[in-house]
Amino acid sequence: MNITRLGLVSLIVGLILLLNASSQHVGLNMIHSYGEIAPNQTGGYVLFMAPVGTGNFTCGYYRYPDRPVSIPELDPSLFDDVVLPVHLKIEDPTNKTVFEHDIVTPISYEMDFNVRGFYKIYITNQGNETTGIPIGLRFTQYEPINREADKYLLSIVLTTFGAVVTAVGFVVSFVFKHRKQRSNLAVNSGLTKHVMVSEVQPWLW
Amino acid sequence: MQLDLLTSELRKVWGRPILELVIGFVFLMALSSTQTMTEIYSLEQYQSNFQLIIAETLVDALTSLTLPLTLFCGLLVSLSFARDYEQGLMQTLLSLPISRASIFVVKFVAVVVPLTVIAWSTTFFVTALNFYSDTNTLITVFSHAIWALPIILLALMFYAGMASMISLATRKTVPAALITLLTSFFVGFVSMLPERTIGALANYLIFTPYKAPSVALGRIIGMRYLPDAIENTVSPWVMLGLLIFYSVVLLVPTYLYFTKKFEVKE
Repeated sequence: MNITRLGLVSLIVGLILLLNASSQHVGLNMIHSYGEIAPNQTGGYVLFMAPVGTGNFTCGYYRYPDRPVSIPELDPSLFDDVVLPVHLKIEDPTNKTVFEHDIVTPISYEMDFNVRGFYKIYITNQGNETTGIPIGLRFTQYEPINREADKYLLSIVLTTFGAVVTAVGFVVSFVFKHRKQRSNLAVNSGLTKHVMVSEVQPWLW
Repeated sequence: MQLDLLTSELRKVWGRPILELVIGFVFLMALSSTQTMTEIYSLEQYQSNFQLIIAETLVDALTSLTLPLTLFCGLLVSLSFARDYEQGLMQTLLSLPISRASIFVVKFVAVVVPLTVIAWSTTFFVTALNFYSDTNTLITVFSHAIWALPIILLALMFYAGMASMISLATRKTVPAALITLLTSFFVGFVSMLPERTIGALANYLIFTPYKAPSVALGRIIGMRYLPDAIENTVSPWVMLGLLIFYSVVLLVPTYLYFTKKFEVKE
């Protein structure tokens, strides 16, 4: 594979990745609840997150106030917020604690997801009853800031690399072709001279 | 001699802009099957859930690549065989001191192996890009994705066998390419018929050459299907055996047809 083709492949892959990564694909409203947590016990969740920037981490909401659940068959009290004192600890993928406080649910906390990986959430029930504690993620709709930062950066690197290498490849092949043409011309003209000299040689002699 | 033939065949088949187009299209399809990771798991089960979602992503990527790979494989094999017949190059090749078996194998390898490498590396790259957070996750992705390599190769062998059979039957580039495309679309369309159209028969479409590769991969790497799905009742090794059968079922007759000089006898 020559340099121009390598550049073209990199440019194509980079552009496709750029199109994909420059738009937002994060789930806008998610709520999950796994099991129940007894008093003074700690439950854990893990968020596997792409580096999508700032979003809201919520704890204690079964539904968001601005997004009412309208399922007539279900008792609306099923979606009541969990009001409970808890100890909340959040660790980022580098095991650094980014949040550790005693709080009363429901809360919404703005988090910066700037690294791809596992964010660990530890919730200790400080109330008097066993209950499920839902957690959730919310992102603003159509915010370019919530695109995947690492993919976006890689796409720009690949596109730039591809464009530069393709351009260099074209220039090199153009110069090479031009030189080849000139050398062919020179060879041709040399041959002509040689033929002419050889033709003239008997007369010279 | 065979190596020179392979090099020239590779240059001929993968000349500009075929390689660039194939890589671009395969990458686009694989990328469109992935989604931005914003997952919530329980702390106790996050490792198993993470492996499950890697398996799902790989199977989705392979499923989305099935039709483009079929089309590209069919087209390239048609171009390789039928165009040589049409342009009279095959007669020159056959007059060289190389066996017919070598010519067949070289033509086959020149399409199938690079396409397998492109499809697998694209699938792995896209999945790794989506899940990479540290070396361990990369190893997990690789240990799952490595199974896709033989499965893609076996699937492509079936498509290439079908295309080479059509090419040898028609020996014209455009009809061979068109018949291969139409056959691929038709078989692909039949394999995707839903249960509401063909009833319980739809469950058995997992055994067709178009769905068997993704089901085999899913079963091997531990993808979870619905509890009553027929996929759960089939052993992954049975699916792999079925794929091996598909990979040779059209290839062997085509190979015999080509090497036993049937067209000369005609």
